[in-house]
This record gives sequence, structure tokens and C-alpha cells, in this order.
Amino acid sequence: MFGNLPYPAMSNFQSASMNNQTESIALPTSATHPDTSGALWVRLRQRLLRHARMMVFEPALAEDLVQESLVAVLEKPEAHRGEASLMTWAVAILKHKIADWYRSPHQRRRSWVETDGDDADADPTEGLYDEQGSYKEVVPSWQQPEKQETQRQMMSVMEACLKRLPSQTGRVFMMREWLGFETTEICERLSLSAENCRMILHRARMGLRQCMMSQGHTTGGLQ
Amino acid sequence: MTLLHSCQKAAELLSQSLDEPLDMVDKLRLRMHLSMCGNCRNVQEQLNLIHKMGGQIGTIDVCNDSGEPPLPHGDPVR
Repeated sequence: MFGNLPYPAMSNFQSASMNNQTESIALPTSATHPDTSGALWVRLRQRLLRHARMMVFEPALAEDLVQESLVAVLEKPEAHRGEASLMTWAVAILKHKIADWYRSPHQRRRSWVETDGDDADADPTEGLYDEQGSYKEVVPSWQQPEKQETQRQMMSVMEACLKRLPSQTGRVFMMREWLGFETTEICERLSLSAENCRMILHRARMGLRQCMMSQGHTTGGLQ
Repeated sequence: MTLLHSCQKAAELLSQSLDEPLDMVDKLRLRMHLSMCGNCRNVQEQLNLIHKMGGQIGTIDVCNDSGEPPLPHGDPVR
């Protein structure tokens, strides 16, 4: 999906973070876009930053990627009316920027340098199964989030749970599910074996599943 | 072909199937196991939902852009 994009300008990644400039960027005053207010801009930036920080190590780099995304939004504000579509659009731009960064040659060397210590090897399925490999406890059926409010609650819980995963595990999950990378590409970019990649994704999903269940928002009646 | 009795192995295959096509044997074993195991069908539903929600991160407003999403209790995932 992002395969043919040219790399964006990467040269300023090492430069000082531009995070203080956001609020001072002149907002478009076009009558076609009355919702763009300072408060909206701050919310937008905060949301993008939250996602960017899950994906890249260096805080300054996350700031830069967000900044570039916001500039792209600012360049064409009239195309997107309303806060919801603006947010969605801005997040899509940020995803492209992060995907490009993961595919850039700079990235490869430092992709797996930081470890989580013992956490990286933690198996969230430990204690879940008996000796035959069957679930020790009955697995409840989850409520399907049809209402918007339920979806919000579940998403909020999932984002919080993502942060509780070992950071590399969370990052691989996000590369796969959020950025939409194929597993073969993730393995290659992060120099992981296919088996290792599979295990990390499995642990991420099972870890999320257990964390989300422990928060109680997801369980319906037992079947 | 041996039957797949282990829910643990089934969960691994369920996860794998979200990322790549399973080979014929694994696919059949998994299908047979699921037909007999309600627990694993529920896990399948949960993993599918997590898979779907993963792609929607950022497009659903979680009402709390000011800081950490709320997580009132529970230990960190191990």
C-alpha cells in the first residue's frame, strides 16, 4: 500500500526538534474550514504524537514526523472539512511518514538496538493452558462493539494495553496491523527470523487479549 | 495427519492465519479443532477483533487526547 512512495526529506531528522513551532503556525482562516481552531490543532498534534511515540524510539524524531504531517495537513486544509475527517486524514499522513521512515536506509542499523530487558522474553500465555494445552478456564465470548461508544471504550483500552506490551512487541504489532506491513517485510526490516516474527506477533495478540479482558470492557455473557 | 488437540497450538495457528496463508494440513487441523472447541472459537473471534481494531487505531476518537488512555487497574502484561 505504501510501497511506491518516495522517501520524504530525511535530512532534518537529526536536527533539533521543532515541537515548539506547532502552536505558532498561522492557522488557515478560510471560510470553507471554520472548524480549524487552535484547540483543534493542539488535540490533533497530541493525538498524532501519541501514535508516533509508539512507533519510533527517539522523542525528537516522533516530534519531527508529527510536525511534517501537520505541515502536510496545513498545506491543503480546504480539502477536509470537519474535525473527524481532518483527524483521519492527518493520521493517514502520519502512517505514511512512519512507514517511509521504517523503509529508509537510516532506520536499519538502529532498528533493534534497544531491548526491553527481561520483558522482551515474557510469554503472556504462561499459565493459560494446562498440560494438554487446553485452556484452564472457560474463554468468554466478547461483546461485539457495534455502538460507537463501545467502540471508543474498547479502542481506549486497546491503546492503553498496547503501551503495556514490551515495547518491541508493541512496535511489531503496530507495524503489522496499523501500518499494514507484510510479515516478510517486518522480518527483513528488523532482521528477525520468520519464526521469531510469528512468535512476537502471537505474543502481542495474546497479551492484548488478556490485558483487554482484565479491563472488563470486553466480556459479554459466557457462552 | 494427526489431529490437533492442543488449544495452545490452535491459538498460534489462528494468529499466523492473520498474517499469512496456512498450509493445507494446518488449515484442516485448525478447522477441525475449531469445530469441536468453543473456547478456541471465542479466541478466534477475539483475535479477529484485535486484528481489525489494530488497523483502526487513530481513526476512532478515544476521548482522551490529553495524555495516557485510562487504565484503572491490573498488572502490566507479562
